[in-house]
Amino acid sequence: MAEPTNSLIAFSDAAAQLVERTASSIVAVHGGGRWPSSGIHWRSGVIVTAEEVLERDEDIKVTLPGGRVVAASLAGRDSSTDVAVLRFQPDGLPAAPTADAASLHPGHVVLAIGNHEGAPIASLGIVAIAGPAWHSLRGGTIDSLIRLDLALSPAAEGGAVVDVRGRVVGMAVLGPRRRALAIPTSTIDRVVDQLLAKGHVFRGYLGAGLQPVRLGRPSNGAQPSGSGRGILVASIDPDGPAARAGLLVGDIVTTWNAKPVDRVREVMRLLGSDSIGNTVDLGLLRGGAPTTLKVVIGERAVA
Amino acid sequence: MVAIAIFSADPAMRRSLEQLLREDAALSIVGVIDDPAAISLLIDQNHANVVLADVPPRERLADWRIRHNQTAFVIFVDLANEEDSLDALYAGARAILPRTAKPDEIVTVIKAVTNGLAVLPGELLPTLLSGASLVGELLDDNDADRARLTPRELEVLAAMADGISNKAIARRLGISFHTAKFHVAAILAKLNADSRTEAVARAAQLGLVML
Repeated sequence: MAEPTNSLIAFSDAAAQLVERTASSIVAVHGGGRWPSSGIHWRSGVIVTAEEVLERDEDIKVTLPGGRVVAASLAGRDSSTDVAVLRFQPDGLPAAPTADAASLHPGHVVLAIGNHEGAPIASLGIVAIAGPAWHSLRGGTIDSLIRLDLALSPAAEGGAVVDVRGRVVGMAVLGPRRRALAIPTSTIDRVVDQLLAKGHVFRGYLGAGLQPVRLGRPSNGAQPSGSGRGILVASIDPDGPAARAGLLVGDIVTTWNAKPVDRVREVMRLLGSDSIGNTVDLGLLRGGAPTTLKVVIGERAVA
Repeated sequence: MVAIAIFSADPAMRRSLEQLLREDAALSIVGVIDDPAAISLLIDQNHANVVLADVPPRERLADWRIRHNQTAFVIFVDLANEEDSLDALYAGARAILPRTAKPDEIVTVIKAVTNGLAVLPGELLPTLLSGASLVGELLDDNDADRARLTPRELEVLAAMADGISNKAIARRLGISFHTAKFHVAAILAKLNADSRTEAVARAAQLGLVML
């Protein structure tokens, strides 16, 4: 008697087919970590993988679908977005079909597909959060916060996040508190362009070590203004932009281009690559007295 | 009879080790050399059970270890430089001794390693078990936020802030890959961070890295 077609069988078969198709563009990456991770054949000859778990810069090998192991070279890393880019000889391996992650909404079903010793490794979940641009702990800009309700195996970190239409919408990584995140396609494209062109990404550089502090009451007895918090300059790079601008250890920064700042993480965000060469007005408390200083933001190559 | 080879670039060290070994009938010297390149050849020809090596270059030691896994390597280091000891262990030393070790200590160590044991100066243990000792430190410290990083750890942290890999950190600071990883792990523990990214972010909040 023929098996009745039911939606569960159809779902299962469709998922398996989707994994098989996508897996033809997913590699395993041997970059020196405790176990191999995964990578996505993003453009012809270019692999993207998770930067954080790529321990080495040289002697990187990738396992192609089917098990053949070939060498790959590092084109560059961006720790602020967790994207590393490798070059290799594709020899006919197809690049993954990608799509904008803007199509994802909470509840959408996604699969994470990696490569484990040449064979696919898959997990299933839904989009938990699809939010606006966010800033990583390292001050990088990730075009949208895509948090997944999905159990991601470490072997699949750096692999593809695929929608039900089989399009790669991002790279699967383990974010803060080891929750699965997708680095969206648009962020990856931006970083790939930079790394292929220059070998590293650039960030703004101030040349100061900073600490958040609570402001005391002004000595004239007036109410403390603003949030009551600022950023203390604890150290200065003598060759850096802050030193050149005359910033001193002990200065407390309270505003950045007239906007109040009281968190170091905010400053890290403000020192993204788009800040390079800009002149910034810093509002300061120097010895308790308010003053301002103009600083020209320098540049720093970050791997 | 235990066959022993001696390597040291310091003639005084060579003489004193040679003299010490000659006093013990159970120990036989198969060679005394000052050129690290000659050690492997010596071992090949004479099947040394033990090599007493005075601060050999780390890569040399790793190379000897791979080629002569039946031989026990006893390495003399300056204990004040922890990294030399760590590097030696990771490269395959079976025993670590201070360069100022006394004759009876050296003989004891030779006996121990020929019996398959490994020997370390006691003061190295806290460093090696640094996970346990660091937790102890943090619990004692009332102001747990003020993570006290050593000067070397601050150097490694600055390199981590540049986003480079452990291997590149090792190269930049002239230490072994394993020692670099060791420092990174210590930094993560002291800053109570789960990842390098988090460690750098926390360090930035503490004013420990230049932004």
